[in-house]
Amino acid sequence: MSQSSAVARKSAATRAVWRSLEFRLLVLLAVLSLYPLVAPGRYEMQFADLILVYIVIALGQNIVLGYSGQISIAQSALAAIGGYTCALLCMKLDCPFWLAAIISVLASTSCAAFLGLLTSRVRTHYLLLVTIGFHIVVLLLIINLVWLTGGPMGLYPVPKIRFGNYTVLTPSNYYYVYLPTALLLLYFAERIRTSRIGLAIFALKSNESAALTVGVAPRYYLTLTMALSGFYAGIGGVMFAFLVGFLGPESFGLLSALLYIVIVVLGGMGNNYGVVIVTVGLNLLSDHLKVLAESWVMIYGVLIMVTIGIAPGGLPELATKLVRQIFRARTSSGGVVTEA
Amino acid sequence: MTLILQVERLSKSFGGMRAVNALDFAIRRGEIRGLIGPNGSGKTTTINLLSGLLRPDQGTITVAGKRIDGLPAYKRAGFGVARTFQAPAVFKDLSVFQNVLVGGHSFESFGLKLRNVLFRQWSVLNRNADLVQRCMRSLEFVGLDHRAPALAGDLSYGEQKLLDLAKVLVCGPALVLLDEPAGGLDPSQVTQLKGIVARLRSSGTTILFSEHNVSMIMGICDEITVLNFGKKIAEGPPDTIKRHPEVIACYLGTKAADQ
Amino acid sequence: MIDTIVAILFNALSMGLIYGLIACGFSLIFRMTRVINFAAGDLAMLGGMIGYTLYVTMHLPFWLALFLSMLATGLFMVIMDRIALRPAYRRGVLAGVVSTIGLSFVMQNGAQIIWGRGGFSFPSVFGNEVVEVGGIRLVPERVAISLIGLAVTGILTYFLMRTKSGMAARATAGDRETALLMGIDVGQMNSLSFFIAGALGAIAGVLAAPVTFLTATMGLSLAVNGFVAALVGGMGSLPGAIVGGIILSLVETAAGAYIDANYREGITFIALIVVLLLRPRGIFGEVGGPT
Repeated sequence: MSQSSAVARKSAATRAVWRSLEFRLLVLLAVLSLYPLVAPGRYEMQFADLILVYIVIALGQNIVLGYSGQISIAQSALAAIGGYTCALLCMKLDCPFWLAAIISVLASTSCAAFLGLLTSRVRTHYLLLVTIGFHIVVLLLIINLVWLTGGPMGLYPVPKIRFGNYTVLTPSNYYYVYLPTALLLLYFAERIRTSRIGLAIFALKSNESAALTVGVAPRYYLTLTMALSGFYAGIGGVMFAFLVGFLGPESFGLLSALLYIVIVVLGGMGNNYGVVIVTVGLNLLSDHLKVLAESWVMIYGVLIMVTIGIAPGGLPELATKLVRQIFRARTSSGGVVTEA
Repeated sequence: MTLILQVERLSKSFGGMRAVNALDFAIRRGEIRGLIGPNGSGKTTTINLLSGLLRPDQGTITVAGKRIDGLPAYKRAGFGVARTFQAPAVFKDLSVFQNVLVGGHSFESFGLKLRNVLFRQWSVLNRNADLVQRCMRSLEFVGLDHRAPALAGDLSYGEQKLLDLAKVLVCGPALVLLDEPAGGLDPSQVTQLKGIVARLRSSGTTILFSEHNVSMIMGICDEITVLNFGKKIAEGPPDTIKRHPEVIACYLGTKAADQ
Repeated sequence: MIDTIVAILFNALSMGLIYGLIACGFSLIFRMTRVINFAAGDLAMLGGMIGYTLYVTMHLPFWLALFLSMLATGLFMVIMDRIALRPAYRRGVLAGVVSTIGLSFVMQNGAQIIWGRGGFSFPSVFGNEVVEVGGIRLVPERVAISLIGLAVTGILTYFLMRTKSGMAARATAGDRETALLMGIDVGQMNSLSFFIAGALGAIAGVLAAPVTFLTATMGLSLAVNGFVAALVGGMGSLPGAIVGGIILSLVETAAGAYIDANYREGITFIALIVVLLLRPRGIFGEVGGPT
């Protein structure tokens, strides 16, 4: 008797391992690590690296917008802070990369936390306003402090990342640094989402007075999500700077900040996997469209409007609708027809 | 007998209107207190003041000897104050189980620390067995345990009201404030509710609820406080209140009171 | 001294009314649908572009060009609402916001296709030369913009306050369900609001055209300014939107003139953010905030 229950427990445990988040992400890591072997060329490799950067920033936006429903448009500016700080520390002060990166991410996180503290008492549109203002101020500083940031001409050349004697040189090198980084950040985002912290945040978004009643402190959690978004944006900014080797104000426009909002809503608010898929999808789309048409932005916009019109809940809703359509088509064609 | 709740000279005005006017009352531990009064008499405002959604203009609120009138709403749960809402306050896009799990927010803080969430295995959602057990017991207490995986938004109105209650009971509050719990319930549901409130009291919890439903009030209250225009006009056991002329007057008019 | 102040005032007033008209469109759509319309500035751009084509390319009289531009942009917005925006905002505010972002992309790129990527210099309609009137130096263009802007505000106010459809629109904005029960066609009211928002944006664009440089991408910064103006005046309040626009313009002018022209936008924003921190609901906004 005890032997079979021990076996039952063991198989339940193994099943738990197979289904665990850690295992799935490790499998993903293993599978995606093979990409450089099948990638056609340098351009595709660099493109993949860039997508990893956007994924990191988008995950940050998902935490502040998808988890807690705060309309923040600060991701681009926060990424700029991370990227410029790290690049400048390395370029002008000969700072070792790991130290510069830590300082930069701290900078972006604190800025975000500050914004969160400022706005957590007055919500929604005020945060949007403050983050727009933040964006404008940061970009103005970048453009006008030419002695520091290179102004509109940009910061160039940003040195490559060095870990001791090893320099990250080629796009595939970058891939093997950025892929685990992105997956680790995805892991953290998922753990937060499924934890009681995440639950409290979602509850706060769902029904604030009910959440207050059970002891959920609104300012704390709203500031926390903003800070986390800054954390992710800062890392993304550092990744961007050292991948592209060049930083300019046009890389951090208001338009790209808007796109992160689009990505989170289309991905399904709070759904990290959806956000990743949409980021990859939108980037692939724009890349292919650019080749096809001069006016790809318009097609982009039309697609956004159509998608959100059909499935306002984003990708998860779209998937459910598609599955239902297929199911309906199957049953109607496979139905039994009784005829005399 | 210790007093679990003491309210002294509590006042709240909106614009020029005095919603609650120098209210004084106290509740003993383990009591079931009813709060009644015509519409607009200040019942919900009083409960909002007690639970912290409103700040008083004047007066003090003391729970188990500690002043709470200066505390924001989210801190009051930690002092053993729980409340439900007239329109059931549930998290519609979360599951029933997740609803009660949020209720356990004040229960323990280990799982709420970011570093634990990110780096420690047992802080993630379901690993705190103690908390999970409490949640299931809370659902069993109101009879919703069979609906644990359902989405809260899919529950019926009556079930949502029960869920509202279940989620605030997880932490074992000393004082439970119910805002018109029987509102919108049919007679059989009201009976079920009465049973739940009685069981709640026998586990040592003090209950204050505002109500219109006469059978509920007269049936289970130890004492009743009557409000009219924000002031307390009567207080006492159900039999006294039933015959109190001022109470009858404010509900039915002075002629009825004279009879 | 006085004449410079008057000149500056008319400058600020004219720009402020332009912001105010865009802010009106913002607030109107917000009241109806709770959506922040990111394409609000692009409506002005569209109005300006259509106005350019009608007035400069086709040599139509100015007033006709203005009127037709209003009509076209208003209709455009109504159509966009029906086919694209409504399915989104019916389900949620954020979906609606994303839809307006998509619309903005479409409008910007569409304008680039139709009118090219370069910009246009709109010729002055009322005269750009300084004119002396009773010892005060004025630029007729600016005066005209201010007067037209004020006239439009007056007409709009009259429409909303005195006419039946105007009052129906206000009622719907206040309480949809009751409006429905009263027999008001809410869908029509929505369309009406979008039409007015489009028309107002077009006016703003045509009025702005002689004093700014028309480009296909000018919409985003106009939208940002309109948004701030609407917030300052109280989100959802139309008189507030106009007042907010004027305040924004005054602060902008002051920041540029007295502090630092390079950081003008940033200083303006910070100043207004601080003001809103002290009074979150804006000038005419309702207590409880715009949420």
